[in-house]
Order: sequence, then C-alpha cells, then structure tokens
Amino acid sequence: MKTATFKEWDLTKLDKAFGLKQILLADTPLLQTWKSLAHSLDISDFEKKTLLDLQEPLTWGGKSWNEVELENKFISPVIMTAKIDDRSIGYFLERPLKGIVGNYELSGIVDGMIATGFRDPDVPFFCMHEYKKSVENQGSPDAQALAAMLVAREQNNNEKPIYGMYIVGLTWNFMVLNGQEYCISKDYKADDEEIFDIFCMLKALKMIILRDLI
Amino acid sequence: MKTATFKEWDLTSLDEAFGLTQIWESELLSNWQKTLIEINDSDKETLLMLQKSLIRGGKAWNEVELENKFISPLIMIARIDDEQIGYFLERYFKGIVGDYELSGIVDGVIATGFRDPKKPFFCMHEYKRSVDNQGSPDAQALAAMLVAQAQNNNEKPIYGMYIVGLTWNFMVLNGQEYCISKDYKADDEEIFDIFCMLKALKMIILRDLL
Repeated sequence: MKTATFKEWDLTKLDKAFGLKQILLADTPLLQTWKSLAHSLDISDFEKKTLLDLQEPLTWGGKSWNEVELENKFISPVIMTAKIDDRSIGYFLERPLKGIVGNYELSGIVDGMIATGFRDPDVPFFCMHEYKKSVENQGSPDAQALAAMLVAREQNNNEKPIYGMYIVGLTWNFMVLNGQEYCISKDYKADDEEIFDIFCMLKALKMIILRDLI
Repeated sequence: MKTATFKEWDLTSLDEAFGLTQIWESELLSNWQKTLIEINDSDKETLLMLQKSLIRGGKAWNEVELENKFISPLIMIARIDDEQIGYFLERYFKGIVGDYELSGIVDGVIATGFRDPKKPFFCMHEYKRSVDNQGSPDAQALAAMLVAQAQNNNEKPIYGMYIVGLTWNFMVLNGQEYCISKDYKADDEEIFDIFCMLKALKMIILRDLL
C-alpha cells in the first residue's frame, strides 16, 4: 500500500493512478442539473445586500490578502449566508480526512467540507480547497480538492456522486465526481456579478445534498 | 535587548515587565459600552442565524471553525472594513516595548489600510476553551496591543479583545493602564451587545484614533 497526501497530485497523476477521466459540462448531467437549479433560485434583498457588502472589501484588498483573510473575510461568510448549516449537515474547516483509494492510502487536511453532523463531520458530501493566487502553494488546487473527494467517496462507500470546489484568489470552480468521471465548471469570478451565481450554486448544493445524498 | 513572543506572557508577568496596572473602571471602556447603536432587522437575522450554528456545534469546533463560522462573519457584518481601515488576520507583528522586542502572529487586527495593515488600533486573539493553548488569551492580546501602542507612538489608547470559546472580553490599553470588560456570552442575547461593541469600535476609531 502506497501512502500520499492530497498535496502530492496533479490531475494527470490522479487520472493515471485511479483510472479517472475528466469530462466536459455537456457530458455531465449532474453539473448541468446543479447549474440549472442554481439558476432557478431567487436571492432575497437581504442576501443581495450581504453579498455586496462582502464583495466590497474583496475588491479593495482581496488580491493582497493571505489565505486566512480570504477564507475568513469572504469565503466563509458567503457560505454561512447560504445557510448550509442546519441540524443535519454542517460546514467544517481544517478537518483531517484519510482513506484507502485503490492502491493508495490518501490523507490530508481539508480546507472546507460539508458533511452530516453539526459538531463533527460524519458523512462528507462536498470538499473544497482554496489558494491564494500570488503565493507558491504546494500541490495544485483542482487535484487537491479531487483527491479529498476520492477519499470522501470511499468513506461513504456508495455509488453517489461527490461534489467539490476549489478557489484560487477571486476565482471559484465547482466540481462533480461521479464514478470514474469528474467535471470542473467554468470559472466564476467573485468580484463581479457572478458572485450571485456562486451564491446560488452554494444554495443549490444544499438542496441537492438534502434531496439526493442524505 | 530581550526577545519574547506574545505567547510567553501572563498578565502578571506583563505588569511586572512593562509597569502596567490593571484597572476595573475605565471611562474609555464605559464610553465604548455606552455608545448607542441600533441593530437593523437584517443584521439581527444574520446574528441569530450565526448563533444557531454556534449553539449547536460551537463547543466542538476547532479554532479555525470558530473563527470562520462565527467570529469573522460577525466582524464582517459589523462592516469594519472600508477604504480607510480593514480587519486583517494572522499578520506578523513586531516591535520594541521597554527592554523587549516582542513579536508574534496576531489572530486579528483592525488597522488603517485595506490591502495590508499599517497603523493598528485593535488586536484580538481567540482560543478554543477545551484545547490546551500556549499562553494566556488576555496576555497574548495585551502583548500585541503593547506593540501596537509602541508602533503608533502617540498618546492614543489601543483597543483589544480576546475570545475563549463562546465568551468574549473587550479591552482598552491607555498609557500604562488597561481595563478588561465583563464576559459577554455569544450564545445568549449578549450576542447583540457584542455586535454593538464592534460597531461602536469602528465609530471610535473613525472619530478618535485616525
């Protein structure tokens, strides 16, 4: 059994080691459904104001912030405003995740996870990693999120898809892993009107978790 | 010159090393507490939403979760940030205070600047109650405030806060005297007082400290 951390991969290596294949949006009904559900959602005036209030400092200083600032001042407040947390599921940060996938024991700390549980994560549905663009980070952000998603799926031990996201600076990408195939969304920019699309993707994610994954 | 990090102190050793005195009545603190702030309906709704998650899971969360899911969203909705001042996290601070060079990473700073902190007005540290943390939270915040005071090199007070689990304490350092507020509990109706203290802090910074 080989061991590896989430940081040691890029997408090509993950494809080879675990027989994965990246597919396009046109071939991914799950991501299409997620996007169209997001499109159908309304944002209340109160949510819109909160998002614009959070976007302002991001526009001023976001590119200079360290990762902790990016996470605390923008990413987490947006996720909390999307009201992911309830009695059945929660948003968890910096939790260790470990599991056996193929011939590997994969492990690492996941920047963000949505899972059952409100004190501690139990069944994970969604993994995210974030990076600061201007800093030389270890690993590649897409592969780090995908590696965590592979472990999440092994833990759940079922056929259901795993959702994910990675954020590099002001750019958000959503992901779906289903079977051996994964799809990565287009870039969503948090400093323009796409902030509302990002927010609706998060709200839609919760609806998908509650409807299809629990 | 001796060197020390923020974590190496408790209040008694700070008092002795820097000739500080803790006081229990402070006009600056009571003016801060008495500042009239109105909370609008949408802020109230957000505060109660954040509090719900805190009540359910807050005691089990790690420090990163406590900060990301409660403390920072609360500070962001208090709208501390503008084009003049900003809330910064995990920034390195160093300065000479008395015979010491004090340094460390500050959990939270409110300072001039929107990209990087320049002139600091407020320092905070937070802890998870159930974890054996290095240093004591009050002293760690106060040590950072001493560096902020030395950096600014003026007669103006420095404000601060430390959070242990669900309990918030506010602080003011003025000259050689410092005062620590009563405990504010974030899991009951005092969440609104905490929020008002943050909004009032911004008013004080803009009015008296810039």
